[in-house]
Amino acid sequence: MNDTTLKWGLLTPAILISAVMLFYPIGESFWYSLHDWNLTQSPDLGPFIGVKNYVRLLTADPEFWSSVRVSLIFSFFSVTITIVLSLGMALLLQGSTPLEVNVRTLLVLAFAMSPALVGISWRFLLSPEFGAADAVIKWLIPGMRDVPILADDRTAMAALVAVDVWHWSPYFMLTFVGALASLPQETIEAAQVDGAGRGRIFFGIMLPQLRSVLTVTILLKTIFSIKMLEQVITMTKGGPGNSTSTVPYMVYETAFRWYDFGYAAAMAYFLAFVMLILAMIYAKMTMGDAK
Amino acid sequence: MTEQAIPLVISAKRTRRRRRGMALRVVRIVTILAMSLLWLAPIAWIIATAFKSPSDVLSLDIFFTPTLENFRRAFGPNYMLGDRLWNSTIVTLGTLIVAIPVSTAAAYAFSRFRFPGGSIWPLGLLATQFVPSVMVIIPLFILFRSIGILDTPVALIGVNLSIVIPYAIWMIKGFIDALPMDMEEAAMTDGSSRFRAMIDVVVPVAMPGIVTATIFCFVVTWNEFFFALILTRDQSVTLPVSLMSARTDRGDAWEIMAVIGLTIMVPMMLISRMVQKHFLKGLTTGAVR
Amino acid sequence: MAYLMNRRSAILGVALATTIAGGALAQDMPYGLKPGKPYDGVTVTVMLPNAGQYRAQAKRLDQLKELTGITADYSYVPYGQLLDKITAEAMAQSDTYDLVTWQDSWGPSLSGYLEPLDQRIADDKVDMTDYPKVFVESAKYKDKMIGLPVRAQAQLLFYRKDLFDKAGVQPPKTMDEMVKAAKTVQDQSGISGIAMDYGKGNGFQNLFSWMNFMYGHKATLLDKDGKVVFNNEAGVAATKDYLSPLLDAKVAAPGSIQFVEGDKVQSMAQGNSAMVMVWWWGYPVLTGERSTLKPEQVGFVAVPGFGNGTDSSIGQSMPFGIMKTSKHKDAAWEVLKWMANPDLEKAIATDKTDPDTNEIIVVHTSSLTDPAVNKANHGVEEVGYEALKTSQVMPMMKTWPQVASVLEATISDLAANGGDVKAALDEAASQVQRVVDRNPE
Repeated sequence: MNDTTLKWGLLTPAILISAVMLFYPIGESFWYSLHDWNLTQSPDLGPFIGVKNYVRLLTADPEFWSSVRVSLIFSFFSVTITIVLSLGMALLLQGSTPLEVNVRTLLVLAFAMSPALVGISWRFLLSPEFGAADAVIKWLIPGMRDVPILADDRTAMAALVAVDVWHWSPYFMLTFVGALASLPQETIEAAQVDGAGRGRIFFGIMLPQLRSVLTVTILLKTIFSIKMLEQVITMTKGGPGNSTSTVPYMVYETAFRWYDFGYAAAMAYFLAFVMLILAMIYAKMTMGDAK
Repeated sequence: MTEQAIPLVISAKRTRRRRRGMALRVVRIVTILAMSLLWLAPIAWIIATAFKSPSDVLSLDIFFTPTLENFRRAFGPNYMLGDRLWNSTIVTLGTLIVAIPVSTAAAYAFSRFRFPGGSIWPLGLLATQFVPSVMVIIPLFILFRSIGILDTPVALIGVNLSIVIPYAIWMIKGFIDALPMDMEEAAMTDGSSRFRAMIDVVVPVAMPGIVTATIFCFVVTWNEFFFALILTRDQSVTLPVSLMSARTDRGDAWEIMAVIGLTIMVPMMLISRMVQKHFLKGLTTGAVR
Repeated sequence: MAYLMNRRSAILGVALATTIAGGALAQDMPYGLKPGKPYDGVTVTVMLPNAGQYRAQAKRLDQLKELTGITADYSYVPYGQLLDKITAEAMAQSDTYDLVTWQDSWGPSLSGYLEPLDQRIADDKVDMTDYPKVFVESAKYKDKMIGLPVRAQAQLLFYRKDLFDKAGVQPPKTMDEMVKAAKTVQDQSGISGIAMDYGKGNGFQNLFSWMNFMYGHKATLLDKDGKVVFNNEAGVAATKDYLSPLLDAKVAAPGSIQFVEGDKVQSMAQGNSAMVMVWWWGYPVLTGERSTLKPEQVGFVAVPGFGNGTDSSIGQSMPFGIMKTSKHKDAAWEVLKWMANPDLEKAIATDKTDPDTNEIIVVHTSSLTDPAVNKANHGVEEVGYEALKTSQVMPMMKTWPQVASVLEATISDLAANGGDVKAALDEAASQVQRVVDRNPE
């Protein structure tokens, strides 16, 4: 068996599966996006209208732009806070004492919860009269007493971000614990001997070496944040108003509530396209430097 | 006087430093405990809810008389939790059995062979995940219907593969990238074929990475909600989707949701120690870098 | 009444006789079913949510089998997923389901996938006069029947009898009285006057109460020419009244901004609110095992009006209809006639032996006024019937899902953040106008 045969032999199953389960539906729905297809009018693909759906999206749909804004705000905060917090948690819990190991083990549970379960659970916990978390928050912060958390623009968004951070931080914490342990100890010890403070060691020595791990985790978390749909469905339904209606939720509503498939596909493509460009720029910037 | 004073000053400094060290350690432990509380209390509350009688569910009292009635109802004919558990198990195992070997093979190929454009291919595969799930599901729904596999585990395994394979390839590739070429070359000079060298030498060494990817895929598949929501109706409903069945036109049966939630979490509780250990071990071999 | 009872036993007798004889003339079969079991051995698959009423029907499917030879397969889909499922099935041109059910206001957008039933109703002489008018309307689109109501709801105002007695307040007859009563009871008892649901989610439920106020002010969404008019004077006044328990009178439970329907009922059930305006399913919840209230604490009256001769309430049903893609349309129609028959709902509503199938819901006028039904259910049906006589359906328009999304968001936003009602409605109106113009009825 020569190398070329082996190379393609190893890749074939993955290519086949991706072709059927990924490239076909992605291509097919791009085709949808070029059609006027409203399910209430016909179960078959409607007339071809070229880029009209995209034009409508760009010029005549303020709600879509509001959902783009919501998605960007959500993603920015959820990615930033998750990464910073999980790195902090990793620094706290990187050792191997029983306390640290056990706490790590327990924290994994939050990550292991289904996103749908996370959303439903937190809707229960934050409900205004019988929610346990709601009661605790209002006891801790009396100023919040009259604020219905999931029904106020700002707190609903904050809750959505907080719950997402709660859900994902343990996973990235583990990633960072692993990455921290793999850092060469000699340089850190050397710096300690030289009398460098904790801050200097972290920012001067550890952080630069974590750069490639950070790149990957930020990329992954950005994908997860942009795609996050389950918690919106189960927690806020995009409310109050449209203040937590993200692009994937908008796409979901347009397709499955309003039956406007062609237009929903265009929205999805627009988002995917923009994200892809951002991701490529980002990958170019960070990975190019790392090598 | 001065001769005595110097050691005194030093010891005072030492005590101060030791005190500061002590204080720091206390702060650290308190932070860890507060953090644990923040993560565990909500989960504990949900678990407790599973054991509450319907009249206790909405009360904020910490004490209540536990009951197993909710479990009886959840496993009964209205919610059929037993069936849902079985479906989730089949789908998850089926996905892992296909995804992991396929991804490992592809990861090896991406890592060891040259491609025009370099790592753009696995990265491109990962980029497909930017497309919102809603868009992938509509063509697949129509496809699955035409070949008659809607509402079967096969359909769910198929879509789950489309989510996990890109991530798994990416993760495992990272591990293999970090392994030196010399290992396989040594085996190959000993007369093994490249394929044998991969199976016998690379895979065992990359095992921590493969396990990490397996765990990730397991968690994702076990918890997958949206695809299963659309593709199942009756026969192959999975656990996360069954959460919705406790939501009726009369509001939510939280205690049933809690039972289903607990069922979803149980396997995670069983493997969570392994999860954290393997992430650590896997990543220390140089993976994600 | 005696006449009804006689007819009922006569029908049952005939049914029995025909099954024994194995065939007879059409008029001898009950509920317009076809004689001679022409669909013997056919299986009809029904998509429906899991509710006590349907579980109770499922227990009685052998009656259907006996009459028609048809096996009905009840396939339960969680309520929250019903529309996703119908959409997906319709889109895939699937013949898996023969009968489906939907929330009435979704009917128009699904109507392209549903079999028109007028001819069948006429042929088999199904008695549509035995329904409150609002329920018949709920199963129609553009004057064509697309379903038969099987499960339906009337709006009632539930109130805490004990607290009202203590405060010396009479159950309200107008909305003004309602707000006043809420204030008095709230001041005296310390618990919130009324639980409302301004929250978003769960299928536009917040619009139910809003439409109560809109109809009360004679405000509509569109005028005859399809122009959006809910932002006119009446609409603004109705919306202000709708928000007043929360924003002006401050008698709404604080959670109301976030509540959806189920939550506001729980608020009263947990003893946190003194009133709630909701569908009659609220009764078993307020008096059931999860509630802290006893049946004698829960009173109910028809939804108050505005003292202008207009009763404001809305009615709603979940009709069942036949999928156009079904391969067994005729058999499905037989099943549908059986599911929608008045004897079945009466038998179910009076059967209190099994808590799992305990149900109060009946939809025929004859059942709503039936003494046995009312006796078994504390008279909820009678009061509901009074309200239903003048109730109207929710707006029936093809673009409802999208229009409702705009409206529910506007309402929940107004409740959460206050702001100028007129401006918010204007903004919503221009959005809705765009939707309507893009997809004319």
